[in-house]
Amino acid sequence: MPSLSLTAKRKLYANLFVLAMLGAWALASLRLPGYVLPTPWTVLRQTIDFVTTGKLAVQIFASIFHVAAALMIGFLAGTAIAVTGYYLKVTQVLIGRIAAFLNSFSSIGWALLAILWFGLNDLSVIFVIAIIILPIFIINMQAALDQVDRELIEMAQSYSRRWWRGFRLIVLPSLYPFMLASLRLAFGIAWKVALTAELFGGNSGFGFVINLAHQSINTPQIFVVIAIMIVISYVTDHLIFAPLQRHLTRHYADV
Amino acid sequence: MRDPIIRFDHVRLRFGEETIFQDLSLSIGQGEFVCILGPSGCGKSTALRLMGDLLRPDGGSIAVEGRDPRETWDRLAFVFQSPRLAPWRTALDNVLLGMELRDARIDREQMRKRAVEALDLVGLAKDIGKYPRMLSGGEKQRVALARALAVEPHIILMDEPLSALDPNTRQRLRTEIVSIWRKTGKTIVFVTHDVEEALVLADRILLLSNKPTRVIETIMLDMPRPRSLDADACLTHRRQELMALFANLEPERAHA
Repeated sequence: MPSLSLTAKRKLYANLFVLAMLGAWALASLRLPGYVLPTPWTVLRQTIDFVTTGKLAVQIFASIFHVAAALMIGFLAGTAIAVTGYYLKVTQVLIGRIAAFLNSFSSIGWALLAILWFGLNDLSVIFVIAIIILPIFIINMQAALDQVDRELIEMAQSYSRRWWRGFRLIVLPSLYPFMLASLRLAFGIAWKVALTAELFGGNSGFGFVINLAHQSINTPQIFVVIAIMIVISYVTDHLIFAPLQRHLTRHYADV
Repeated sequence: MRDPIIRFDHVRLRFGEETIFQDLSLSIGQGEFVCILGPSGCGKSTALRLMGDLLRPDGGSIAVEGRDPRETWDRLAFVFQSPRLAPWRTALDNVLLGMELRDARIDREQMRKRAVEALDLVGLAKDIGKYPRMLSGGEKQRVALARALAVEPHIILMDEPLSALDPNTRQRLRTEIVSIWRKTGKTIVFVTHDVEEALVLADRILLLSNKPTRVIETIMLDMPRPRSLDADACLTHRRQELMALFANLEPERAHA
């Protein structure tokens, strides 16, 4: 075998493993009934079918909309709360308790409450995702604010008495790499919570599709949803978040 | 002495249980180059922070240009021991940062022009597009100096700005600081614990004691610059005097 670089070797092993798993799936699916384990080619055909006929496309966009809206809300609210704690030290204990409270309750609990409060709709789903990822932003942004270079802050104070300028010109840019890291983390969690939230409290999205598929014992459709979710999640992380974070870390963090 | 631009009258300051200043009085003249010399931990930097209104005294009075420091903080600019540059901004943008922090009303073109001039004055005209990570320690400190100059302060407060640099760079920057001071006519208050540095730079040295800190000796220096400690007998004599005084304040350092 010709010598491969270390990275190439590692990739090769990973790819071989994936192929082996696909093979195992194919073999197992031949022996099991379709409602337990559909064959890979059934799933592939249905995936193409769903996406191209637009039957599922609407639901894909519904889920993307839920996740994006909740990320935006959670990010803005979480950052605002952490920044409040940074400038108004008296609120720090209170914020710590809010974060601990939010962190301790599960998405299913929130989903059931949201149905009672808002009904079966987009608002319920977005609410559940946002409230689950909110503590991630609060806690991460608090940690990020603690990391802001105190010497730079004092430098800013010596040049200006307006806290807003110091915030905009020093504190905020120092937070950029951390903002992206928490968005990335929250994105992964939001995807998973979206499924639960849509399953219990939604009338659209992947969770809703899975719910219908479950009721009609349409196992291939559940596999289709899983496959599409994996693709979206992977593509977003590798093509958007990872390169953006590399750039921000290089540019804004002192390395 | 020239008109005092900074004046401390019986200043008192405590940090919790510790008394930093019990009764500190001093004055600094308009356009003067004053070195504040003292053992480490005696409150030299703290005195600068009081001048720049980053700290308030517990008693006594401080006047900058005859007014309370709270009203005159924007007449001063700091150069700290570490350069304190924003790593995401180029040299030029770091100089602009000082101006953006201080006064957002200045016209953008005007600001840029001033920043370029300041960088030119510190000898970095060619490096305005470089990020701090691409600059040496001495160059970073020059950017910090340009940032201070660009806000056009009346007084520049320097807090051991050269102590983290290698000896050669330190020498060169000393000379340049003196020449910038000559060109601009600004008042410079320069904190150091290096006796030779104070002798080479200052019009006047204020020697501070251990805590509670007071001025134990004022030394006037009217020798022409650039000064060389080895060539000037008078300076050598001053140095011995100061070293002896210092030995009492900080035994280990004087023998080192």
